[in-house]
Amino acid sequence: MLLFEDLILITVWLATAVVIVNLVFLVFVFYRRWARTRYYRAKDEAKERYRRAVADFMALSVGVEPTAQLLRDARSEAEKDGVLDLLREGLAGLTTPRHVSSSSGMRTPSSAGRIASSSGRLQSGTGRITSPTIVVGQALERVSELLFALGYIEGWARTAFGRGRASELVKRSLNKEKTAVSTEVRQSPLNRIRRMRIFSVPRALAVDKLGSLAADYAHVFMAEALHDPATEVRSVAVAAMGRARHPAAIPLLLEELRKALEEGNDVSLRSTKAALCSYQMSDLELFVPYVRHPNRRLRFFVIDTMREISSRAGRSMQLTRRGFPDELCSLLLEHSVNDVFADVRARSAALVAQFRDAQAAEALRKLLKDENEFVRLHTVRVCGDRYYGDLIPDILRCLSDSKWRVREAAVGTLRAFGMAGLNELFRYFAATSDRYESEQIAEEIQRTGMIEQLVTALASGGEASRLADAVCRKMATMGKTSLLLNAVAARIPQEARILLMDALMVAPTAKYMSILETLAETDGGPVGDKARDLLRQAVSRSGQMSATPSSGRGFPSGSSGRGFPSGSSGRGTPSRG
Amino acid sequence: MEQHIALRILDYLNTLILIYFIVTNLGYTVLMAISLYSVTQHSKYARSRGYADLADSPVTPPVALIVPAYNEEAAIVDTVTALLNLNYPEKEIIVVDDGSSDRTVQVLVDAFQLVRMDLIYREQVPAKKPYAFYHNHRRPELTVISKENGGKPDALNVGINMARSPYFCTVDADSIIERDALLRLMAPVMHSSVNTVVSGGIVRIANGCKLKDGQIAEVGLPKSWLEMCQVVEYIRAFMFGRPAWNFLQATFIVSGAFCMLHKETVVLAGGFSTSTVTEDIDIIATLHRYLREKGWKYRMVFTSDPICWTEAPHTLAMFARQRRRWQLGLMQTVMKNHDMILNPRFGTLGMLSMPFHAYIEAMGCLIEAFGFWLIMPLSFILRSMPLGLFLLFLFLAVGYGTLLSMGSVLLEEATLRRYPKLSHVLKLMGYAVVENLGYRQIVAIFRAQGVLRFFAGMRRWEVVRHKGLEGGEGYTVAQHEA
Repeated sequence: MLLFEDLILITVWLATAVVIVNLVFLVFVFYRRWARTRYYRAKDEAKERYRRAVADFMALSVGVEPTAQLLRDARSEAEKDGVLDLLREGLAGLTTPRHVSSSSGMRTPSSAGRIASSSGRLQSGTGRITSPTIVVGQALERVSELLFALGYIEGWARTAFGRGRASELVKRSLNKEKTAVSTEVRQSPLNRIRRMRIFSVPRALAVDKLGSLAADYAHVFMAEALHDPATEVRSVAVAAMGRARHPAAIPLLLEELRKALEEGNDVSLRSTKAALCSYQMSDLELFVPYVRHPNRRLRFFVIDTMREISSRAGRSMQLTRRGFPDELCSLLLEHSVNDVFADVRARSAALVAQFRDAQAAEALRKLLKDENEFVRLHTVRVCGDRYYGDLIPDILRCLSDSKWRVREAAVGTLRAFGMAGLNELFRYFAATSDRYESEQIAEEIQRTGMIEQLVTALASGGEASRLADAVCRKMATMGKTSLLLNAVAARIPQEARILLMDALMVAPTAKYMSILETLAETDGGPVGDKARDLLRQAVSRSGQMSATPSSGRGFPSGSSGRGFPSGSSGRGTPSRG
Repeated sequence: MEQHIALRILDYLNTLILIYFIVTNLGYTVLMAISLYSVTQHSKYARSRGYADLADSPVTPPVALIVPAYNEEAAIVDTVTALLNLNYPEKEIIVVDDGSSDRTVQVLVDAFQLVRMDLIYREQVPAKKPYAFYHNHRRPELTVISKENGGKPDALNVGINMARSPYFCTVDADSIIERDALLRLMAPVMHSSVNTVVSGGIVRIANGCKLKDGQIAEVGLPKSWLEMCQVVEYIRAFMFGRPAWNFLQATFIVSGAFCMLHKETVVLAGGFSTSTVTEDIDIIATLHRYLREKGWKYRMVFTSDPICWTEAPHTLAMFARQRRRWQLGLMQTVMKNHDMILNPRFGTLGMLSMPFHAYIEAMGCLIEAFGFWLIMPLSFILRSMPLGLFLLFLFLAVGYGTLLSMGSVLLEEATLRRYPKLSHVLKLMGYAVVENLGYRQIVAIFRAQGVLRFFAGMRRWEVVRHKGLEGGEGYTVAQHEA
């Protein structure tokens, strides 16, 4: 039986245990700080010791084997990390890298790996190097060879794949062997344990380091890592494949994608797609076999990936049909734009738009009339290219689309055509009586800063001025006057200001009248005269309505204008779109 | 006879309190062990991978940062500047002025050259209608909305209605988000094979830190004991409780000061509710319920490295108000969702997390407050409790807590290391002991008041005033009337 005396003893023991554990925690903090200081000191010393050797190696003045002999003295973890840091800094110094690793592995410009695969054709130090990226590719290959010679890669491979597989994989990697298109997880009774993070994280970190080698060397390891049961390891391998951009990795990544779509895959679709999107225009031909894949969602992802690749390339240069593989162009124009799956049609539009030829224009025209709103939306978004000026009437039709996102995209696209598109947009806006279309266009006019262009056009005279005036009157009627009132109160050219004051008079608000009163009192020039004139007109008009203009009564207040119900500034969900 | 009955009752109460303390401490110990494992593993994994890939990827989804603001004129420009400078590929920032009586909107208009526009507002979740929109086409990612006062959940709903991105992140107007924090919050969403509807991060106390250009320029510790105890308490809550519940896939609380949500799911679930005073806890429960009822696969994650810094109350009065509100909100949410407690349909959430939050986190404070301050001393004085038992009580109520607090500081030192100086860590460890000797017991009283207010039917959102951070713009007032 538990006695109270025992309870005192138990409590004392428990309290003592807690105090001891707390002291252990405290000691651990001191130990950790001390260990970190020691680690960084050793690392810094190693970096100082080997800086010259690594610099000579990177400058191609010393070969792989002599450098390896020197660096083999680095044995502790801190020293090895110091060497890796130096090599990474050396690679980063060759060009401005996009990806620099925070880990102790190396991460080089994402293009480096891809270039490394062709760098075998280059000879070290022969003066045939043509660009910084090729220099990096070549250097990465040499660095990888150095890491093989130092035995680092074997160590990482052992951690990632076990002692048994490591030596075989290292051999295959050195031979730059091809891999089978298989990403099946190897079945083992130990898989449950291997999935535990305590075991999978070290493997993932090792795979991450292996993934930073030159693409030809890394590919074997990454392909092997896709058979790992742990999500962390496979995710790291997929990301590394995206960085290395080895052509042979595309089928593996697409297989991962297929698994995610058809069977379920713990590596996310987004991760795999992000890796695929890293590829370049020159790799598009490798995607061609999948454009007509029986799985419609895979077709969609493939087309969407190519869209991302081409749109990234399109930001730095103007693409044409010649930039795409012929087979891909035919497939897109004949099949993808007519695909039964609307998402495929929608994403095909963006690719087709990059062709910039008559056939592409015809395909886009057809897609602009597609029954599916997403197809229309994505198509109208990509037509904003001066080459497709002939499509302006079709884009104008999208302004009356039943879906607001399509209407919004159409406004943005018309803007991309410059004055030609804007004039068409303004004409349409002035003429339409549809509330939803008008609301959408007015929103875009405000959001995108078109008001400034409108006000400038007001004073320019001729057709442009008449059009701008019509647009301003329409906006005033709709109660979308906030920006116009700002313009009246601001110091814009006098002539434009006077015209704008006239336009706002079609539906004067209380705020407008108060601005007029201020102008009438403070401005002695033509603007003041105009304000006084408009106020007189307002007084005579409101006299008939028995109201006092100065108080704002007798005028529509707030944003409600003539022709629109109260609250027509868009509040509430429009029933259309 | 009467004395005998009273002593008997005291005995029963003591047994109840003893069982409560044993269960609570066991529960926290298990959570501590799970957190130690999951946080250290995550830290190793995340540190090696970096976030450059995410920042460059076209696949990274856009995020709308929704900032509800009420009388935040002093802090709002710093907050928005920090948000504009966040390292994230595509973001929109929506500040919702919830009917401020100060110059919140005007300072934003002046600082970012915004102009008033008449924009379209499409209501997807119910909220009070906005009456003004401010925008600058040269800074298209920022929109400021003015609406009449309706409380924080209402302001968040307006933000949702204006957001165009598939995800949105709620950000308190007086919080500072670290530059990469949004990417870190998005990482689990990107790497998840199922729809991740909620992703939450850590909130830290900024008192004592130095601010520069809307960012924490120098991490420091506050001087007053109250603020220091809160620093330790936040470390414990965010390093222990939440990672462990996340590991068990039973996340029930994510701080609304910095939390990312999937917009479409929130809209389908009806948006933020105004029925509780802690909309952040409420939305999590609502989403769990909605998604379980639909039978959809989903994930809610808590990640231990994205950090948001916030200001803690400086005075005991403000602190009491904050804790009463939190407890009231927790009670409201737990009672609103009482059918989830011990309901196997909700998995580990229903079987573990909900009972823990209901009986230990929500109502347990009554036992802690009355047990520690009333029953235990009374029993000891009346000699109904022997010395051994009294010491055991004291150990369970005070002593064991030091282990948990010290463990959390140790975990912080082993993983995030946001406090660079050794003196900081030692001070934190000192307060990890000190906070168990009075602070936690005082907190228990405030929390108990919150529970009693719930039973009394009160649901007022109490005013919490902040003093402002060093290097910041000065005094701010965060006042929301529900």
